Parts: sequence; C-alpha cells; structure tokens
Amino acid sequence: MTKHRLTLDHSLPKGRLTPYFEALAQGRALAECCSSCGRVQFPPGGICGRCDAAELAWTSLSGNAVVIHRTDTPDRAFALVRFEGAKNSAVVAIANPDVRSSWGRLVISPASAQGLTIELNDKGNEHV
Amino acid sequence: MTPFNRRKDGSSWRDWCRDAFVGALADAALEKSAIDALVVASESDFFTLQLNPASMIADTIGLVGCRSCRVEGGGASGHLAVHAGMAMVLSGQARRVAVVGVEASASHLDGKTVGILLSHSFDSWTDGFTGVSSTSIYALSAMAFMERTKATVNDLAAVAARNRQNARANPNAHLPLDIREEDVAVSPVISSPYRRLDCCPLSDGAACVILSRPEDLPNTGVVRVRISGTGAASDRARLGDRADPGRFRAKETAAKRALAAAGITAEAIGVAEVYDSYSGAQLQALEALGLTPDVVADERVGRFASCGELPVNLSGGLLGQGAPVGATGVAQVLVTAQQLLGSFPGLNPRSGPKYGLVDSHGGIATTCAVSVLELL
Repeated sequence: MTKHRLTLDHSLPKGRLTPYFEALAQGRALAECCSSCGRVQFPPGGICGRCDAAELAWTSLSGNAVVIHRTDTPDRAFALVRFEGAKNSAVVAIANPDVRSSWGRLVISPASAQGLTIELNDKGNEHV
Repeated sequence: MTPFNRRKDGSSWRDWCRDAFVGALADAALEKSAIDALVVASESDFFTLQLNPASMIADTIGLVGCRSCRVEGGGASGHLAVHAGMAMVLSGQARRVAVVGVEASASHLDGKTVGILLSHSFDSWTDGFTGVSSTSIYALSAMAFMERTKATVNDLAAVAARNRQNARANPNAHLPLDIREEDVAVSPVISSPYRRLDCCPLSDGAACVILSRPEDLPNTGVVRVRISGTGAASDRARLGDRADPGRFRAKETAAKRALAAAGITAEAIGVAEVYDSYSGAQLQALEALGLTPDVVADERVGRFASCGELPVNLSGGLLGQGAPVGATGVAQVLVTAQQLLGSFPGLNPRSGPKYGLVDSHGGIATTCAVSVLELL
C-alpha cells in the first residue's frame, strides 16, 4: 500500500453564465428570460426549459423563495425551492437550518460553497 | 465478477479487472486471443488515479493490440459500456467484445472525499458548489415522489430490508444483512427521510461480460442469453428543471425504447435488476420502467419479493450486492443473464422467465440505460 496526495486548484471560467455568477456573489438573483416565450428561469441553464430557444435575456428577481421540499442532514439542510418570478425550481443550501419556515431569501454563499444559499424567514409559514 | 466489498486484502483494481476477465473467458469457453475489442467502464479517474484506464486495462489483462475504449455515464457507465460493446458487434467492428467495469470507490479515498466527488455528478456549477450530497438530492426527489404517490418511509424501509435479505444468498454481495424494516427505521439519518440503511454502499470491485453473435461463440451446447432490446435517454441534469422532480422521465423513455426494440411489452418481463442507489429510487424506477400500474400498492402486496410475481433485485441490487460504480451496470447485466439461465449463485426466479430487464442510471436518473435480456 502506498500513499499519494493530489491537490487540485481549479480555475473555472463560467462563459456566458458569468453575469449570473457575478450577481450571485453579491447576493442578487439574475435570471434568464426567454426571448421567444417569455419563460423566466432561475438558476439559468442556457436554453429555455419550455421551448428550447437559445435566445435568452437577463432579468433580475427579488431573491425571495418558497420552500417546496426540505431535507436535513446531521449538520446541514438543503431544499428544493422556487424563486419568486421563476418557473423552474432550484436546490439550495439553507443558511439557518434551525429555522423551520417555508419562506426564504437568497443570500451570499460562504466562500467555500459557491452555489445557491437561502436564509429562511423565521416568521414564515412553518408547514415544512 | 469479483466480490463487491470494501477491499482490505491488499489487492489492486487491476487485479480485480484481471480476475473478472479471466472468469468471463472461462464461462464463455474462449481463449484470450479470441477477444478483438475491449470496452472499459469506469466513472472517475479520481478513484483509481489512472487516466486513460482502457489502455492500461488492455495492457494488464493481455489485450494489447485490441481496439479499446472507455465509456462513462456516471452510475450507468457499466450498462452503457455493454450497449457500446453490443454496437461494435452489431456493426461488424468486432466479433467478440469484452466489457470490463471497475471502480475503486470504497477503499482508495476516504468517504468524505468520495462524497464531494460524487456531488459533482449533478450540475457541479450549482448543486455541486452548494455542497449538497447525492443523498440529499435523492432525498428531495423521493419526497416529491412520496407526496404524489403517498408512499411512506415504511415502504422505503421494506425495499431496503428486502434487498439486503436477498443479498444474503449472494456470495459476491457487499451487504448481506439480516435486517427488518424496524432496523432501517432506527439507523442514523443521513438526509431525511433517508437513513443509513436506505443508502447503497460505496464498493470496490469489477465485473466482465463477453458479447458476441451466437455463431462467433464456441458450440458448447450451453444455453445463452441474448440482449434483445436496449434503450437509453437523458433528462435535465438539475432536479429543479424537471416538471416533476419525483418522476424519472428519462428512464420511462429508455424503457419504452428497450421494450419496443425487443418487440415485447412490460408484462412479459419476469425478473428485473433495477438501479436502487437508494430505497426510494427503486420504487421510482419501477414506476418509470412501466413494470407496475401502481408501484406502492404492488410493493405492499409483495409483488417484487423473491417469491412474488415480478422478483426485483434478487442479487440484492446496489443496496445489497453493492455499487462499485463502473462495474455496477456490467454486474446487473451479468446477474440478470444468470437469473434467466437459473445459474445465478444466489436467489433465482422460481417461474423460469424468458425475459429479464436491467435498469441503470447516472446522476439522478439523468443518464438512463435499460436492456431487455432474453433466454434463447
């Protein structure tokens, strides 16, 4: 048995999704709006989820989200949420897993986790 | 195939490939020189720390000079490699193809590192960077399925316990456990509603099958199994981009294609090995494959039990037999063929079915592969 250590330090250009990631780093929700059918999707995907059109424009959302399903691990929580104004949903990390609420808002993710993170509103509907 | 387990005996993934290949050659009554193509299935080079594994495996098992390539499709890698090997035979590019699947996902890296790597099986730019695990994504999908079908955690636990019980008869199984539903219910929560015993293990191991036209195999008088239909399809990578995150749409499409290619309907299937990476995923798969009009009702009446009308995962499935990713789909094809022949060294179907179905997927049913096997 021999031991090997491989340390990787990736740099990942985001191409045409760069505006989305730049907004996310500031805690803003930048969505795609289909130029053909008007469908709004967040997070963006580069192609319209309804009509497959590739012509998409950027549009800002409020960042408010409703929780559809929530799963809890021993130390974290994640949810499938729908952001206000979007037709698709998103898997997000929950910043404050001690709160049980159906409503949340996009926040800046920790530097170590650059995906989507929401903070739940502790005055929200507690149906989850 | 080799045993699926967490290897502690000092053997290497190259040894496992060699063992699986030698076993397949002996079973087919072929010499190594009869093989003219090699298709390797392996999900991630991070596990083996070996890029270009196909050429390395060709070198290791004595197939230098053969056409060789590697197929990758997450958890469907092994099954898609079988499809690729079959295409080589059907197109005339090769006469006898060895398909070798391998993964060292249990013992080469610590579990936390493997979990981080596997979280990039989804959309790594969104889900992966969120730090969400495979189990959490599957849990969210299962919750959508449970909400729609009224399946309960008891239904999930029944699958988890039954597959481990089935595995007890399988000498190659990773988790042959004598457990009941109540054991599942008290195992530690990994990501609600999934508990530890709802999740398949990370396994080490290799599996090999040899594909050929009947006329290119030795006339040994042995009954063989034909792949009579295949289908594959893909879905949106992100759960949130699906109209119903609890439904495996690509699997539905892949199954319809495989059944149509075989010229049969789902009612003709008499045994199935389905992709049960999680207990709920087995129910979601059975629904998508069209093998039941009401998966929850059929689960509760025992239709999928070893003595049921449609035995499912007699090998133990991923939950019981284990899941060395690249080898998983190859092993699923192998054990289904053996079950049709009645030669599986574990539980075999009692009814002597003519058709068996094999189902695998990568991501969360994002890349799906289905095959129909037929006893000749």
